[in-house]
Amino acid sequence: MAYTVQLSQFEGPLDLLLHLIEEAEVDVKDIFVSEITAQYLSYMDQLDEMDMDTASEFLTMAATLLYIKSRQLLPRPPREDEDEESPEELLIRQLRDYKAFKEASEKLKSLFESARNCCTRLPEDVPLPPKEVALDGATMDGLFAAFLEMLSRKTDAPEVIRSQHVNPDRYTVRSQTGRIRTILSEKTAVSFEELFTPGAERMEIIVTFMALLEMIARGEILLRQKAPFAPIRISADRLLLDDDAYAYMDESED
Amino acid sequence: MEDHTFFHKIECMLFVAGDPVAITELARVLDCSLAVAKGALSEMEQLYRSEGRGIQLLVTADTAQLVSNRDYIEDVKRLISPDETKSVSQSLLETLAVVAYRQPVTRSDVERVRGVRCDYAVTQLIKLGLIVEVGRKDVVGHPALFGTTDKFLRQFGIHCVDEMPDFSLYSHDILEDAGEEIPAV
Repeated sequence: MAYTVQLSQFEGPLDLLLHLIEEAEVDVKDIFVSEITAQYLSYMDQLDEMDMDTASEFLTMAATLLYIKSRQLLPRPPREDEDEESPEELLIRQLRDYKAFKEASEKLKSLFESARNCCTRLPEDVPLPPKEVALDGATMDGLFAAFLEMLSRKTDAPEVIRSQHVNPDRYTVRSQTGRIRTILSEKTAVSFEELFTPGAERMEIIVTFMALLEMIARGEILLRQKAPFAPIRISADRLLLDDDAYAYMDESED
Repeated sequence: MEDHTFFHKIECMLFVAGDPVAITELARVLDCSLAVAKGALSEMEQLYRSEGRGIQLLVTADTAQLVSNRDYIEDVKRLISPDETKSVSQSLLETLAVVAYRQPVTRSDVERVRGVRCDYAVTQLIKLGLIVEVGRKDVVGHPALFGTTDKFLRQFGIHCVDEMPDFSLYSHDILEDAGEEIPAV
């Protein structure tokens, strides 16, 4: 068996042709006077083992080679356009170009391999100072500004309107008051933002804010704010245990 | 001696950064022009090389980085036996070569030279950060034009694409002998 080289070893038809040219030790321009076309075609038996895309590339080249061969057997009409490349010229140019880049890629490879011997350090893991917030004295204006900021941050997704069903209010002042009490009984002080669940909907924010106002009015909690627009800290003062005072605000109770 | 503190500052920052540092960033911190920073870096690079230091400076078009001296890789390997970086496949190398020498090129330019489809190779090279889309060609379909990145320069240890082997030879169309006769059967 003369051909032991597998087709899949080649990068493509040009690579195979170059290999055959090297084997035959002929110059690229002598490709058409050599046996290379025949040799190339003998490789086409292996096409079945390749995927469609790769096979079609090899097949196109086979067709080109056969076309060139057939042109040489027939008398040629005079060329209409002198500038136009003949298929022979085109193929030879392609082969030379490809050969040049094969060489270039070999050189790039050795460049890469020698550059690979350089090692680099990983970046230093410099810890950044933690953010510190100390708070004292809060104003109602500041609370309101924080509330507005939170509302603007939260844009509700458009609600799906259902004709048969009206959702009851999920948040009541009473339930939010209870929530705030629970939070404050675990921690001595929390920030205004911490009272809301992440991604809170508009109604929850409003009701929580109302609950806060009620609790301030009844002296249940204290607010502190260090400076205008600084974060507001909420701490427990005299937390009430009975909810009855807020009962009148509940809209739905079932 | 002012120059030396300047060099020392750069060296210090590059050591802490580890990663390649943009030269514009160095210029910002040192409060000098980009040209001055580049000049200092290239002077430092030569100094390091002429002294054959264990640490060398790798300066590319946009960044600078401290790297180990490649001559001593065997000693490094004996110390820590680092993972061998996977070598690049032939199809990736050929595609990279066409992009690097002929940039900016479209994918079909690459395919014309290689005679095979290059979607995979181009995608892989983009993923590896070695090439990047640099614009669109003003022809029908506005195909993407690709060029090499700063990372490419660093991985191949060169300052700019002109330093690639035989750049002037490969960057132009391969010229044929004028009036050459193609022998036929």
